[in-house]
Amino acid sequence: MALLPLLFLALSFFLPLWQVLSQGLKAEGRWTAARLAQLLSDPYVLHLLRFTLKQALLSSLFSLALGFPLGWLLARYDFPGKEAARAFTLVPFVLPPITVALGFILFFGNSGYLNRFLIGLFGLSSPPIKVLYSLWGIVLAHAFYNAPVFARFVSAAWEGLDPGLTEAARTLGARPFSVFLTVTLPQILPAILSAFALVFVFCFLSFAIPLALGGARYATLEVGVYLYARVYLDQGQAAALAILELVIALGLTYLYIRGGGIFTSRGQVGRPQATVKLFSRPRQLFWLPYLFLSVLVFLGPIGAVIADSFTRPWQGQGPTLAWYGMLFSPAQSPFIGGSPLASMALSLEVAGMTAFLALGLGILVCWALRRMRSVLLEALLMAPLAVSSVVLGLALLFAFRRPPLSALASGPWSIVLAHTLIVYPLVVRVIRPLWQGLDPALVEAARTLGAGGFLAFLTVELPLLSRGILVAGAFAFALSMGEMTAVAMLSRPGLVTIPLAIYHFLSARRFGAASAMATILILTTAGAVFLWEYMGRRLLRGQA
Amino acid sequence: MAKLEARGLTKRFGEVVAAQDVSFRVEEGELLALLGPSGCGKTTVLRMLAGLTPPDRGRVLIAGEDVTPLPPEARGVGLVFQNYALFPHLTVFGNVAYGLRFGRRLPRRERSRNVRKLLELVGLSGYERRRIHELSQGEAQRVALARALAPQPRVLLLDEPLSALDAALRVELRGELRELLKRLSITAVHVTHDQEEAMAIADRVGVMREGRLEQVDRPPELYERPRTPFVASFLGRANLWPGVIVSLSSGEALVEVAGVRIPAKGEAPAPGEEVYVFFRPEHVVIGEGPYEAEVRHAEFLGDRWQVHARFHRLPLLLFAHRALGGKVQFRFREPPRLLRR
Amino acid sequence: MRWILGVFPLLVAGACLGAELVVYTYDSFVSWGPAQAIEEAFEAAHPGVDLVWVAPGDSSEMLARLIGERAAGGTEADVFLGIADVELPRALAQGAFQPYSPESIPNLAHVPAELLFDQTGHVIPFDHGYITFVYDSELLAEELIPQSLEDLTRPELKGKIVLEDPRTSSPGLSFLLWTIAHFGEEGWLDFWRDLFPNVLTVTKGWSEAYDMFLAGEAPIVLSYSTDTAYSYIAEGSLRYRVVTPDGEGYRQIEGMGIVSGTDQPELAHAFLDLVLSKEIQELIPTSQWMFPVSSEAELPEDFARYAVIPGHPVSLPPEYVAEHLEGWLSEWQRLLVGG
Repeated sequence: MALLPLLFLALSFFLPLWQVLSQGLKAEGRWTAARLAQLLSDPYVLHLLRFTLKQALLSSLFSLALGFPLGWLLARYDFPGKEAARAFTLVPFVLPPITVALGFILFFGNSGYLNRFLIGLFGLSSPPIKVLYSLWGIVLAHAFYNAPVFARFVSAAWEGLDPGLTEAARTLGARPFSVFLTVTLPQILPAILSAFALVFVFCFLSFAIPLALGGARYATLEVGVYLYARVYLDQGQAAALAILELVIALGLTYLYIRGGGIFTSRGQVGRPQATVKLFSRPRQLFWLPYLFLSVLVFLGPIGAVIADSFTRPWQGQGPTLAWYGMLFSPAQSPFIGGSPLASMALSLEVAGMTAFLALGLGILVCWALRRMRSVLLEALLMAPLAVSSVVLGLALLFAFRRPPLSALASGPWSIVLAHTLIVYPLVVRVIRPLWQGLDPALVEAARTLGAGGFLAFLTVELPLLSRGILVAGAFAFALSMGEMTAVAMLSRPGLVTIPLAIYHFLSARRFGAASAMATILILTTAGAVFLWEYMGRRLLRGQA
Repeated sequence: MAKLEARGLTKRFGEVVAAQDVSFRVEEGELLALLGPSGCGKTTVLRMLAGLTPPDRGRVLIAGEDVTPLPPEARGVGLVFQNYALFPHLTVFGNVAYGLRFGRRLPRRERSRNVRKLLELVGLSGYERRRIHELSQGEAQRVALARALAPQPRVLLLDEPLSALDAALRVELRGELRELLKRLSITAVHVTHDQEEAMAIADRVGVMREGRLEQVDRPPELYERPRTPFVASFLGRANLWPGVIVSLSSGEALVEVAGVRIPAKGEAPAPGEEVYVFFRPEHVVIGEGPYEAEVRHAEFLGDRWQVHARFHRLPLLLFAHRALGGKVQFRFREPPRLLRR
Repeated sequence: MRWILGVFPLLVAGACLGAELVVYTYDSFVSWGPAQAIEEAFEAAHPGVDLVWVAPGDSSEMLARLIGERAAGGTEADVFLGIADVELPRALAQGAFQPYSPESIPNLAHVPAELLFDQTGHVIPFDHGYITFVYDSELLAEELIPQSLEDLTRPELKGKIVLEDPRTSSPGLSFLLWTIAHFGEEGWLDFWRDLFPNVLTVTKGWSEAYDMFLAGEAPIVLSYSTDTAYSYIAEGSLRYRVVTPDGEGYRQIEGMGIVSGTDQPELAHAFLDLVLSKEIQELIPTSQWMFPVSSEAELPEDFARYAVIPGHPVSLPPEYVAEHLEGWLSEWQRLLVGG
């Protein structure tokens, strides 16, 4: 029974995806690897491949460096506004690349806030910080996007640890730092590796950020796919390149999953971790430089976008509400499909439904994987996350043009379903390691007590996975809020999500209005995620 | 009709035979212990009884009804897990009430009355709202027991329920456990690797070795009349001497052991067969006798001495009231038993 | 069974009463206003017909969607509006458009012959514009304003120019073609080699580049010749000025066509005619910030004053471009990555 939805998934989505990709393995109707071989001998493609791998590795490492302490902070310390900070960590995730690029330019750019501040402070003649339009600009922006992934994964894993183990290590005479290295770190390593695999794939497939902050000189493989598919209209070459990307991305995922099982901990979820008040001891002042840096990287660009929504560049820097006025003026409404409120409502509706469906589908997939135990299958099921977004768009187009999905072609359902298909692998990656870590005896106990398999799942496994489900739901929600590929391919008149509205404003020269809309996206997402986690945590506490 | 019956249960995991043609019956209110070294397949048998592992062959009958195709939740068995498998997200109350709520689906009020009664029964009144991680090992064991008993299972299965406890507590709790199970006249199967625990707690003990059930009997019979060398040596201290049957007469055989002819009792195969001669140390009477042994060393056990000796190069274990040395003469209180090799 | 056969045509007829004309276009065409005026005029002239705009992407994304949908089994689109002249040969090769009947489009008579870029009779122009450079008069010293393409390579302009990628954006492509037209197939790469040090970054699309320009990242950006008119009319500012190096600018013509296999050919022709009407064409300047194609249309005063038509508009024949584009782009990208 559980396999029926998966069969549906295979027919409705993986089949079209394969149809698009298989063009890369065909030439004049025959199967051949000639296209792939040709690509691998093209110096430009090799240049793209080298650069893509390099920036993805650097970006993942930098994201880890920036995100790990944040996860630590959220797991182990108490400070005012912690829950709000937790919700806020997902904001970067939802911002369309073009808004992030704008934020970086406004903050780190040659005439950005930071440089202007430093020039004023030290009386310099030229901007001292030149991080944009280089590899490091890309790495920094990727860290901005992906450090929260590490922070989330790490804090969720850390909070689920059995404090008895660290206490045991302490009583055995280990100093706090060696306890961390020998007991804590090995236990959260699966979460870190899981996040690393995810972030690496995200950065590997990144397209808009390298182009916006590095420029065309720093193009990734995905640019190649875009060029073949859109500019040269050569679907075969585009598919071949996308296959190359997919093989690398899934290969990494496969290696990770294969190796990952070793690290899975069997920790009992029991006594909650104790937290410490931040800055209750002088040693904790070491946090200050990190906090300063993260405020700069996270809040700087976001703050710059928000500030931009209150200014008109050609009229000096006086604050204005004109852009917000424009958002809500009736004259603008036709082109954002009603009103900004309608866009907000649509985005929330789509993201909310996506989160629920993706959780359902993701959990179902985890369930099926538990029975089948095929690493290869598990890696292949990650395909929607690891495939070029250009190819994904084409596959969705195919999928929603044909039965059974064509029945949903109009209305927000098509976007919801497409987002669900795109987002569920993320849910799988969050929940699966946790599920593998659960003691199977717990379910067996429930079954011998008279609960059927499904009831045992509902009453035992699900509550024990709830922390991961909460995190996965928040990610699914955020990813859907910011998603553009599927929206561009499937949206219909009147269905304008917030990112699409931002995009419309940008191409209509309403840059300030785009910033205002981005501000609305930031606030909506942070608000919704905050509410979701707040209620989730209350529910967890109430039931426990 | 037996309350619980295993018929020819067989299970392989790849090349490993976890259970081979295991059959036994447990009567109403009886407590059967499955005893064996770790890896002998006793837990696999228990899981097949519970429905957690499907057998390759064989059947499980409860009160005459074939439950083999039924899933665990439909069998009416309770299982106490080795590590207790208490639900960490629920309180003590939530754990004990689980089977009443999701299995038997009792109304709330009846549920809480039952839980209170059960907690009283295991001596944990007032623990309802405790979290699992706040319990000591002994308390956790009692909660696990109360939880398994709550839905009033037709058969209770216990998988090494005492192994996580320290020695003193283990002895104390096993007495309580037996007393409780007897008071409630529960039909139970208890898996353990501890022979002392098995004999202390069970009405009958089944000894398993490499997936096979070697013998099922009351503890005294098992001790006195083991049917295989393994059972003989696994329970208590045993002397096992290899020998060859020389001649047979009614009920008795003459066995040549290390060149000496010893009369032995038991089911005997034909003359010329290789057998074991089995006797317990306490069956040996020191002093006068037809046999002679050489003492190697002796250990003081408090109430007596345990003496390690040699009988024509064969090891001999015997008990004495004083430290012995040199050569001793001995005889058997009753003839040793024959065991097939 | 027979009654089903009888009922089915009725159902189809019922669906036709509320007929739909689906127009694929790029997002900003819908967002800037002419789309709404067109819709009102069209639906007033054809009662009971619903004009539906589908515009969730830019021109090349929408064209990709159209072609993709046709390959996947069919599209709802009846008309595609907003195909760039350089994209035409590729779209025609895919058979995306069916030929129009000139006699059903009376307003075509007002379009000058030099703007009719499609000789094959599939696509009609509806507006045109010019790609050139725009500078920030507050950040760029007057003596550095580029009066010629060579001026763009002056060392004083190091890192001061933002360009769009010719592979992913239409202004970027126009500039590449402009340099090829200006310097010839032999000289254009040398010009680019000298230009690159002055390029702060090459963006994916026009929005990113102009956004950077407005944020003060660089004082010169590749953009449209109507930008001064826009910032004066919409924002009352003359800070951003258009300059046409060597008096040149690359001409972009945007066209529209009837999608192959439409079930509404009459309505589609009526739609094309409406877009070419005087009333709609006069909306083009201050909504599209492009020039109308109809000789009947009059330009608004401020637009006429600040929007620049270069003295020497540059363009290359689409067929010639289509033939060589891939080679040019790969040479360009080799230069870009320093290979």
